Amino acid sequence: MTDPANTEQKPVTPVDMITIEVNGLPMQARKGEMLIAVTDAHGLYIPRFCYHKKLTVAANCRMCLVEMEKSPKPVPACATPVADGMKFFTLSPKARAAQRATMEFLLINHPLDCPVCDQGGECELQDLALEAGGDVSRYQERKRIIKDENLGPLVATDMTRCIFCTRCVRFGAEVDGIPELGMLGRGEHSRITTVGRPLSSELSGNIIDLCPVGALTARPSRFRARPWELLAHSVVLPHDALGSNAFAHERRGEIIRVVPRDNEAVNETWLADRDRFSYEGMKSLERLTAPMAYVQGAWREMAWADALELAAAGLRSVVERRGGEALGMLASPRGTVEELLLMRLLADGLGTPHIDHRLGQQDFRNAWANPALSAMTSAIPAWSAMRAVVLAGVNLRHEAPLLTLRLRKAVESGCKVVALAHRDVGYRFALAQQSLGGDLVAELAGVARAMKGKRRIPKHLSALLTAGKSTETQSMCAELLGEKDAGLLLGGVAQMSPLWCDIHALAQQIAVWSGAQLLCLPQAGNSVGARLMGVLPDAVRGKPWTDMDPKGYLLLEVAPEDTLDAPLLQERLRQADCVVMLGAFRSAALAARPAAAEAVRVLLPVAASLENEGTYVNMAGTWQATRAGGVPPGEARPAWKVLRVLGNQLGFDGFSWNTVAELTRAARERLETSGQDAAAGNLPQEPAGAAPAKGTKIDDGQGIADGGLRQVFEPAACQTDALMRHAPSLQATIHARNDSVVRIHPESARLHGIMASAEVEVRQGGRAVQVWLELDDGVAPGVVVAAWPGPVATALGRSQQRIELLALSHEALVP
Amino acid sequence: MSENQPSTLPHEVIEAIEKRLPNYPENQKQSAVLYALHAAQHAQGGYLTKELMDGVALFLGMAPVAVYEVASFYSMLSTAPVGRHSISVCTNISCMLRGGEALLEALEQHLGIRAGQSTPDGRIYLKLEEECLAACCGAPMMMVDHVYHENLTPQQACAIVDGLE
Repeated sequence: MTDPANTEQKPVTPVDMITIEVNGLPMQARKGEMLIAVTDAHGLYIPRFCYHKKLTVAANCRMCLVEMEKSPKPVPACATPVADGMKFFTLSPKARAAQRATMEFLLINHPLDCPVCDQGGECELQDLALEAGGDVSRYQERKRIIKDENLGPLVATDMTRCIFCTRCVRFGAEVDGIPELGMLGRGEHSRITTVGRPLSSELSGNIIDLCPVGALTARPSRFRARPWELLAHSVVLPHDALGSNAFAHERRGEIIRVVPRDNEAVNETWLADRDRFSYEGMKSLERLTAPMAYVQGAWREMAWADALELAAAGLRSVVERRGGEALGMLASPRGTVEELLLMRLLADGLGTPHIDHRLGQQDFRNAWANPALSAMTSAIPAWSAMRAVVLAGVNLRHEAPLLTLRLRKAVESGCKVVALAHRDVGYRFALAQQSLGGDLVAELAGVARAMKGKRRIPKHLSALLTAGKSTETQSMCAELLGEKDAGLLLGGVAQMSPLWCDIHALAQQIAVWSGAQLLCLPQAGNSVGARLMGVLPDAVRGKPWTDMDPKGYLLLEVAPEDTLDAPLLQERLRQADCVVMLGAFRSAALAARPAAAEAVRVLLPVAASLENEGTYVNMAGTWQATRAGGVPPGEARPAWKVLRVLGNQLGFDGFSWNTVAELTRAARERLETSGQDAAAGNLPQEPAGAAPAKGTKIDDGQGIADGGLRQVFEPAACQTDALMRHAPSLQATIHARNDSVVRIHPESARLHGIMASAEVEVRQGGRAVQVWLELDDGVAPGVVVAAWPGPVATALGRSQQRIELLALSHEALVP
Repeated sequence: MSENQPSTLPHEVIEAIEKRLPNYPENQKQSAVLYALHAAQHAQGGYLTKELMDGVALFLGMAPVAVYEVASFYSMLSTAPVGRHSISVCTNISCMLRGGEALLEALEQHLGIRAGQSTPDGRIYLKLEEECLAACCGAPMMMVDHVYHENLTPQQACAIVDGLE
């Protein structure tokens, strides 16, 4: 750092800033920057195919040839580092001639079938051929053809159109971490191929955007529309805690496709497949299109006015007869801030202390163990600059696929990542160490013990931090977390644990002792928003969702399968006198016959996330506004409007907002008055010594010792929310298939008499489910891993419970 | 999961690669890929199977597709069964101007196969589109099992091929 007094004397331009001249115009650039990056920054376009700002320079398409002063030959702008005083001409006759010649070569083998190509209208080759292509082809010979590949349900191929820019190959090798596509052969016999394997990356859709021609196109939206028919709407996708930015491309109210919107602070220029293809769920036949109510023993469609009146009357009657305490409210952590604010206000109006959004949690002993609190200050780009990261109880590939790219970047520049996990999830970066113990409390206690030194153990941890020896991995974690720029990340597997509050308390102590950043990754796209709007049970009288057993329920896009104990909620809904549910999809559990004949059931159809306007708060505490990308089907309306009118029906004061913007303002004001703002740095702090209340000792890791088995839920890849579950292409991928099976280590399986992957019955208390069991030697011993939400999790409920396995067929018994 | 399986490479191939590995930096094992593929091809009947290439990939810590790229790029490496004798007829610019294409066509007709194919008796393998073999002064030319034959006429070329066992 230089003395500030001195810097004033120096010229404004830093030393490594230079000036070059392009087409006679001076341009400021960093020394050594590639010419094309300089011209891009100054808004001057140079034609290109192989160059991409996020990939390494290949310089193999030769389209960006430009004239350089004192150079006898034209130079490729993507591979020419600039130095002070260099002069370039991008539009000179020499540059144009070079570009025209390149285009002539590129078009030799290109089929020129633009009228039947899905890329037509947004094709880089088509656009540049108009500019640099000849009117008449001099090429008379046969064109080469290449067989198409089957890359799975998401990416369609027409490989004959490929111009070998290798962007897709470089994406796999450099960004995603595992090259799946490669260029085989040489010269004219080259072809881009996966050699017969379907794509297995959860980010595979990005190669569609990268492909500058029509060789790789999106299968679900193929031939549905031409780009000039589409309107782009800026949306935010609430499927994970990042809140990826995207454009929804709409035609006449229907979303045709979703493409990424650049935001360096969130998703850079990428999208996960589930963000990109979930939109298909909006066209599902399972959508609720009209208000429905259960009247005199049957479900009936009815008008909005009648349905709302019925809903209000039902809720009012529960409150009048039994008081506000008899009412429970559950809200999806993927609702917008505005919707969640209205839920909060309705709860106040109805007088119920029981309201919750933490549907993926079951241990509520310490209300401060809320993921949103640690997450809000964690900037996403910072994770690519980490020096050491410990991943505890997380499947980052499922929970935040794009965060794995950030971590991978960090690993490339020397970051050490250690995973304390229930199974090897196959990260596409090298782990410094991985411990498959499956018992997070023991693991974190070991880490804490290794770094404790002479420090005193706080009283609330004395039971957890008993004496003992730390393993090598635990000591390594302790050492790494002590480094500068270290992070401890707790994911969904940890948060779903029945011992979550213990895990959280240990992690917090570790963060205090080591100075490392603690991030509890929020489970959904607006968990933080729900926390900020106070969609949480009253500190004194309120009960979390697992404990509330109300007579009436008001649900905002929550179905039993969205919670960690589907059978429990299903039964409570069946018993309840009144259930009012705002949802975008039909749910078998909600349509079930209520226990009492006179019970009230009202289903109110609302807009799905991409049809909705509002705000999501991501893991970094950033408020991101989303626009409506499509029109909800039939009678469905945005949930904020429905909740507002419900407030009117119930006769509450102040329910008079007419636009989302008014509600957003109300939400902001509410935060300002309560003094909680991540940006201002005044988050509520856990009071010192707020010990997690002593809870019941849960049947946890003991399973391993006595040879028993327990299940562990991990966040699912493609079942995260209802929209995703109804998206057919996504559900046809290998990831969706993996969500529907359970995994076990072959050794643990053998101990229970199962010798091969087979259909089994999993029993847990009185609950049971039949499922395909896969032997996988990347699983921790003594556990069976299942996806949540998912068929197994829905049938069994609660993570980390003791189970039994029963083979259903002979094949399971034969190795 | 193929990543967890032991290498499928034959013992002698692994030995040959291991002997070569010290030539390269520890963290750049993949530099040995050409040598490894060569050794694998040599040990297993003159061509590379998918299993062999996957074995090399696993052994050197590379993605399988990266190994396929190398194997399919170099004309010394074959990914399908080929004949005993390998014939490469140069059709690059100097040879083309001096009748290299006619030479190749004559051989194709004489042997009854197209470039890139092997004779049914497994005797001759006619390589596909061989690039310049750096014998322009003796164009047109062909290479038979690493031996150069230069200034050829179609008749001479056929006679040479007929003389092979």
